[in-house]
Amino acid sequence: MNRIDHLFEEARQRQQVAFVPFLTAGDPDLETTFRVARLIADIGQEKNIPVLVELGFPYSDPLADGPTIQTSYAHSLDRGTTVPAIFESVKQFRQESSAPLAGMVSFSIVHRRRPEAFMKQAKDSGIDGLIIPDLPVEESEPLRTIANSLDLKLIQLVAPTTRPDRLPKIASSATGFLYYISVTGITGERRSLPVDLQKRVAELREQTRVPICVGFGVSEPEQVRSIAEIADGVIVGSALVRRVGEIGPDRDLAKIESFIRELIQPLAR
Amino acid sequence: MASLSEATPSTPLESLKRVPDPAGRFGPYGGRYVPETLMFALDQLEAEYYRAKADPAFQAELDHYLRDYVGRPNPLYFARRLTEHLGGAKIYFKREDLNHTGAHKINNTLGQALLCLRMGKPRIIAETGAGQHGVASATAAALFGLECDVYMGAEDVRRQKLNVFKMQQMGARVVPVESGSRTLRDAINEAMREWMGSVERTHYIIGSVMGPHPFPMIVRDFQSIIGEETRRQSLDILGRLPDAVVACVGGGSNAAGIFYPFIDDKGVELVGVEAGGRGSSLGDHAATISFGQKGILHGMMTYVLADDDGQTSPVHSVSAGLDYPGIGPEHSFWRDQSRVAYASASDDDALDAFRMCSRLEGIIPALETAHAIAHVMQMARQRSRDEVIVLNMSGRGDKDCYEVARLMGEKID
Repeated sequence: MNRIDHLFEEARQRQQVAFVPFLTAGDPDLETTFRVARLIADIGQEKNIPVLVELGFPYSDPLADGPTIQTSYAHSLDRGTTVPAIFESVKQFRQESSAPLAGMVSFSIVHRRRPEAFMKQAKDSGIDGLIIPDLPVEESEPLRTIANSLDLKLIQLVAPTTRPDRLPKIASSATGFLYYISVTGITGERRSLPVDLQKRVAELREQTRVPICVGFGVSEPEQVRSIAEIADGVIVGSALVRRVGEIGPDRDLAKIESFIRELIQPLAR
Repeated sequence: MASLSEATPSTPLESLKRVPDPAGRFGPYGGRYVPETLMFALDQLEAEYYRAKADPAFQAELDHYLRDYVGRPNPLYFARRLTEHLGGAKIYFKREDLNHTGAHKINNTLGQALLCLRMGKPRIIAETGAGQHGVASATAAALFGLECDVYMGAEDVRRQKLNVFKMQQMGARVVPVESGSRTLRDAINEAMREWMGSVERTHYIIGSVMGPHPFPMIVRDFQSIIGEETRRQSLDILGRLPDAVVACVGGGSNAAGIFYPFIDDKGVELVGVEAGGRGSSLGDHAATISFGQKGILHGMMTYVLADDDGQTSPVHSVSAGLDYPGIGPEHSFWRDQSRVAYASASDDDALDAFRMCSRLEGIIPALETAHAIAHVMQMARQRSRDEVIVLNMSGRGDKDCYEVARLMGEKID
């Protein structure tokens, strides 16, 4: 069974909500990225919280990302992070961890490295699903066929601006989980989340049996708590990426550890 | 038989003009590679555009502004001294430089601003490289009472101070973009991101035939007035169509505008001229078709300059308006169909052409346009005196005087 499906199946049985940390591959370096991933997975295990790691492939022109993730991508690319190097690090991570991994990757990268080859290499290295944020459902058909044959999940996104008539199409083609973008706009930390978030997620729930994870703008334990009431997973990106970017030359993870412990406490069962 | 002629489409079925398809494809190019958040705005824009296109009142209003505000039709002018100097084919200039605001960009911004009004949105945003599209957007915003924010790479803000001042005078806010290479490409990224958070009350006026569907089609259609006039004027003045039409290409809107009405005139040679910069190594030029390959950028599939991982490459051009690592998808289609030939001109060739055109014709061209002039000068020398080459004089060079003076080692401010 695909690790993503397995995670949500278990979470459902145990009535848990998953934590989905987003990490930029290669910022400050690949080794640290995966040390942080293992650290979060370990905390999850200790607190009985399922953890699915979302791994951002740095891209030169990320349209959906705010300044924090843009900067982080730029740092990673400036260090010379490449797609083959990311796959290599994933392989090493897989020898030590069974936490599911979803790659967040621009279609520019997938297309340039040829979708079939990219997806096969992703699967072989130990990635369990892909989120391609600039590939709307209309353009994703050819990739879905490849993904299905590899048992690689192709995670679709739904936004507050998604009109009801598009929902069935997106919901029916989603595998792994559905990524609900909580706010209209780019990634980044926000003080408050939209008031109708609960209603929107409930509407989405009527369309699909696939687990729903909510992201964009989440940075505080209180937000994690309120999303956990309505979703199957809580995605935290910029708030974590910013802190990982601030890790010093000694690569000490103490501050990351205390941030994560506090942030995901509301998910502990 | 009247019924038969009515049934005959004005554009034949095999025509290369019958693009894009409903999915926004020009052959394999174009499409929509954008975050889900933008899909609603693109669908809404597409629907509104088709309604406007079918509405005679919309076209009449646009025509009114193009005539009385922009000053269309602008002339097709015989460049006598340049022609005599080169001793070959006759060179004609399509005088887009005489439009209000000094370039072809206004043709598109007025059309899109009217679409924005139809959608009931009170605000427009735009990206700009050389500043011409920013000025044309700020102009349209002032004319129709819309709020206007223009995203401009910090490097271009420096290169194009005059246009920054003009935009501000017309009430627009110029937002310097500090990310990435701090040029046009980054300004587009930033405008798209801003649009994602404000789609409900904001229309994004893209300045070229690029981006996700329906933008490449809409901008081409609004710019096609250039080619339609040129075609009519050629028939009036020459009694025939020209032998060749030449235009500079960054994103490619002035070229698409003058080429499109000639696409089915197989006898008319069409040439797009890219920025050859200072050399052929990646990073030294912006010649996307000459050196690039199929990829994804800014929501479209098209030729791009990118590395083996699909990361966009740095580009260079002396002209801020051609400094772009992609090209409109329809150009990629025309290239693959061998309907349009793409060449390049270097920074130095463009600067020489800038000076030559100023001296011989009393017309100071935009540095972007100077790339096309450089190529036309080469072509004209090799062609017979019976041949006619039309050059799209896409913009005037006032905005470039400071930068050219700087490159010549002179100081004028």
